[in-house]
Amino acid sequence: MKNGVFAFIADVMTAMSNCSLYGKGHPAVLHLSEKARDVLEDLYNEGRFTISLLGDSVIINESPFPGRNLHMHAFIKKLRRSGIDKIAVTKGVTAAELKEFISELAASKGISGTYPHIVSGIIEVKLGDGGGADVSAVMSENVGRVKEVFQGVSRFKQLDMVGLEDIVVSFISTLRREQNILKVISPVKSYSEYTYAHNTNVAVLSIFQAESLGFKDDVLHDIGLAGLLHDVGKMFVAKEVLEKKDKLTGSEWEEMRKHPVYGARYLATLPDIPKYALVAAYEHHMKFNNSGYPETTRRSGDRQHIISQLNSISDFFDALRTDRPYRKSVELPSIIGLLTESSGRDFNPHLVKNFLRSVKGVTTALS
Amino acid sequence: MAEEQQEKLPLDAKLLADTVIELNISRRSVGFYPPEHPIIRDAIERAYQHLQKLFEIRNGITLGIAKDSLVVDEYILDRGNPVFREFASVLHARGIAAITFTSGLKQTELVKLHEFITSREGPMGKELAAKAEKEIAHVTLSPIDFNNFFFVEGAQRSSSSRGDIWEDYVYGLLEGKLFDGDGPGILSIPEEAVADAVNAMVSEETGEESYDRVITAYIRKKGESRMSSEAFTKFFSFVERLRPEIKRQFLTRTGMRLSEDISEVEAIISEMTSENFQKIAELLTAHESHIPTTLKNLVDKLTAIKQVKTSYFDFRGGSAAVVDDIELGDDVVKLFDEDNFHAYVNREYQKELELMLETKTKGNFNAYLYGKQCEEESIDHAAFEIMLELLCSDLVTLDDYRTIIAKLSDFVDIFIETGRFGEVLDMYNTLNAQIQHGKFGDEAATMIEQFFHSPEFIPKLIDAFRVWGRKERDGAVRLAAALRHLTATPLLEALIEEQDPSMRKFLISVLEAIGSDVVPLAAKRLNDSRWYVLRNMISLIRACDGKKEVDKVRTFVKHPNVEVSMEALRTLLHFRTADAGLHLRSGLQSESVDVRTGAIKLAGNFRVRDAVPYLIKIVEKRDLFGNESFFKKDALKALGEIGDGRAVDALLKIYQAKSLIYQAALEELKVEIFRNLTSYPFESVKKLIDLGLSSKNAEIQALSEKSLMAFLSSEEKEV
Repeated sequence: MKNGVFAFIADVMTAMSNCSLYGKGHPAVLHLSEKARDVLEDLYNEGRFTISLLGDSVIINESPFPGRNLHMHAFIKKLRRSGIDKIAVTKGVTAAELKEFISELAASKGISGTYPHIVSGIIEVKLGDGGGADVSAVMSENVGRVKEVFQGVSRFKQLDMVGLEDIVVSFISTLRREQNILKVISPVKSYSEYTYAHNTNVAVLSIFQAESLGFKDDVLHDIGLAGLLHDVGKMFVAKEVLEKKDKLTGSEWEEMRKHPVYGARYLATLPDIPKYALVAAYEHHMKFNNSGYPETTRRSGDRQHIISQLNSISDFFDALRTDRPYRKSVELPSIIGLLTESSGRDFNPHLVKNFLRSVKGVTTALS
Repeated sequence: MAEEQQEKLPLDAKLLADTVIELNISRRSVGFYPPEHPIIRDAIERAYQHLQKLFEIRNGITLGIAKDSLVVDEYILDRGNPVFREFASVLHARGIAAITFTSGLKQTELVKLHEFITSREGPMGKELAAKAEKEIAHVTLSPIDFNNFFFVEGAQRSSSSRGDIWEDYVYGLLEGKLFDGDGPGILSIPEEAVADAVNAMVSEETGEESYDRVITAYIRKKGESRMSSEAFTKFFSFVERLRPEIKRQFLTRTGMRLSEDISEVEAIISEMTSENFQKIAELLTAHESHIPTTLKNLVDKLTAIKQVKTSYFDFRGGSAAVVDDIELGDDVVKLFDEDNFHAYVNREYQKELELMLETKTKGNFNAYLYGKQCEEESIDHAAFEIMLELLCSDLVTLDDYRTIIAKLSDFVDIFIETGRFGEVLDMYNTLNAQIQHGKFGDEAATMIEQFFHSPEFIPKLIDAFRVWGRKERDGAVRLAAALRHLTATPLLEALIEEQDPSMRKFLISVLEAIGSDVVPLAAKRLNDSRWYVLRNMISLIRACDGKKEVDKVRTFVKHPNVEVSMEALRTLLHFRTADAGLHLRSGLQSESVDVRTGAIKLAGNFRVRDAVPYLIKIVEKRDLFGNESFFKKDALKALGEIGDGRAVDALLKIYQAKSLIYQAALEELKVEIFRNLTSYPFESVKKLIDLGLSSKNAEIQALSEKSLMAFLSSEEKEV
């Protein structure tokens, strides 16, 4: 059963990748659909095969399915991106039907076609973020949850991805209730809480930017997760450096500069690599013009990924507006000016423009 | 909340907490150690004894599982307790919603239960519950009902039920009846809720110990070596909301408590943000008559320090600076200078900014591109590249290296399936570089051996080449060349069996890119009986510069299959062997139409001047039956490619010839002459071009103009 499910998912995902890379007309897509149809024969339970997503759980034929691999991980994402919680395939499905369905899934625009043997839909899930609760209370609780998850970060333990994903869901629903981003981002209540509040804020600001760019929910989710985890590498920086309230020495700063590598190293060794988070953790201190840190030679052909570009803006904005033991915070209009001046060199100019346009309502009200 | 439950909860909760801890320890032991190990025996014994004590109170105890929380009756066990979370998560991951232990339970049943829930491959959910029902009489597992599990969990988090718990918590805290560590924890309760409850429950007669309990709950959490500034801030926020008379009492008791450890208080306050500190300072100053002088002096001292912050940077190094962990370049740092900085807030600048923001970007092009970058393929690429970089980092340990390499191989599997050969090559090159210079060269070598040299890898790659090779040609060719020692033979085999001509062409081009490694392999296959195999192998020997195999190729010049013989002749011509001309001339005079046609083409392709007289002979041959026109056309083309002036007279003769029959064929030959003039010396064909320019045949006229222009332009270039 397990191998059959993996084989089915692998065929579907490979077909989808091929669809998006080479178009649905490529013979490999039909070939893989045929393979998937054949694999299904062994997976039917009373003539029906179902895959459901409930939170982070995958349910196959109404039983939880424990295994994960890269294909499964990508498949789950694809379903989320298409807004689908459940797919049910009944016996008799044809390769052509599967091929069309796969093509629609690959396009990530939802399922509009009708299929005699394939049904997809959503499962209603109640989100437990307190409904109409006060935004600052929700965010404050989220900072606490982030702290709890971060304190569990260790080379020898799994990251509580479920906990983090719940937090991101809460961010997205909070942002939809409260338009004023400045009300959503959390004030830092104590310096030792800074790391957690900062991660929370970077996640919220990045979701805010991505939503204004028109990204879909599932991508927002990944971007939020990447924001939350962008500084996860700091959990591996020597505590005396991380929590030092005085200015860092040269060698301490060198240690601090390693946190992107520490973060990527940690995330890369997790069983289910959160790829967006891995990229942001590694690249969030690189600049748009490829300077910054960590220094890299391999990727000279590649620019900082869009996720990291969004994160960099959020990181900069939140760091400057936050009061620290030995540093003044910067006023909002000045941060806007600095962002603008650095755009094109440190930051993607389109994203800076998008960010500033999105906060414009707030800044106008403040000025 | 019924008082009965309040009384019962602390008793049950302590025992229950210990029982869950013992259950989790025994579960871990069963997972780690072999059966019958003494550690398992001891752990099971302890868990068993705890459960027996619970059975003295109740016949059965049910633990509900809500994701990572344990629920008993309507109480959620401390969510912050990692043991509870772990035990709940393990059961949740196995698809279990509740577990019930009933009186009569045996130790062997506990071991079996742990085996069931720790097994990675065993059944889950309904199947696991059914298995447990059959095999464990005194433990009942209830599977998660996936139709309504999440609805149920949502209901558990409703605000009304939470309110009751908080009220109960504060009551238990004030009365000293709260089991230490039980309940949601005071810091997770909104300060206003605690204050409301305290305002309602506390009177002036309330004993000092009640105040102390609340103060202790806030400012020194269990297991923490020091107070936290968050707790400190929350505590004062709670105090601020109290009725004045209770507030006074709290501040007096708090002042006394804090004065006992003034250095720790200083440390906490120095960590606070100015804003939070300001609020506390105001509260304490307003009630300074109730707080000890030492605390008051400390607040005054810190108030002065907090106001002295001059820099926007954490530190500066040369012309650059650091804010938090962000490096700012000198250009940005300059902007922070006082004079420049104000420029950002003046009205004019604001206006400029407004204008800039009004300008909309054209269409959704960028949003579309950004969306593309967030697709699975793009993020896979970025993550993959970063993981390759990590392999080269000094900061990875051997364990990290092994884990990352294993994950990369999963990526590579996907890249092969989707024809992303460039990334596969990246992985191979990185590992190879690691073998030479890397920290874990042996690991890299092992990986190459186990992955790239595995029996499955090459067939999978060749299959992928068949599907994607033509579309991802560049990547495929580079990868095949890099893995030449692995790919040459299977690619050659694939080429031999390939039926599709375009695929054959692609495979040949890949093999050509591999180069000289292919030559001996191809030479070995020259004894194959199939003509197309021979043709392809000869072609490869030539393309891969296999001159040393030319003797073997020579034997095929007279091969009965013309495809083979021409391929052999082409190879001799390519390597300019001494006998190549001889074989070519023989071909030009062959009785075989195919051989002669092939030889004519080769003579032109290789511009063999020795062949010119033979080609002239072909074009001048009398053609009574019109059969030779086909050869003549090819010969004219070949002569044109060679461009030898000796042929011009023959060309003039054809141009000036008149025929009553086969007029159309003759006209075609004339046109062909003018298509192939540009390789001749200009002077030699000048007359022909003049004639062509005045020809009545429009095509000849146009071709003559074109040739003339070509000659003139090349002359200009020479000048």
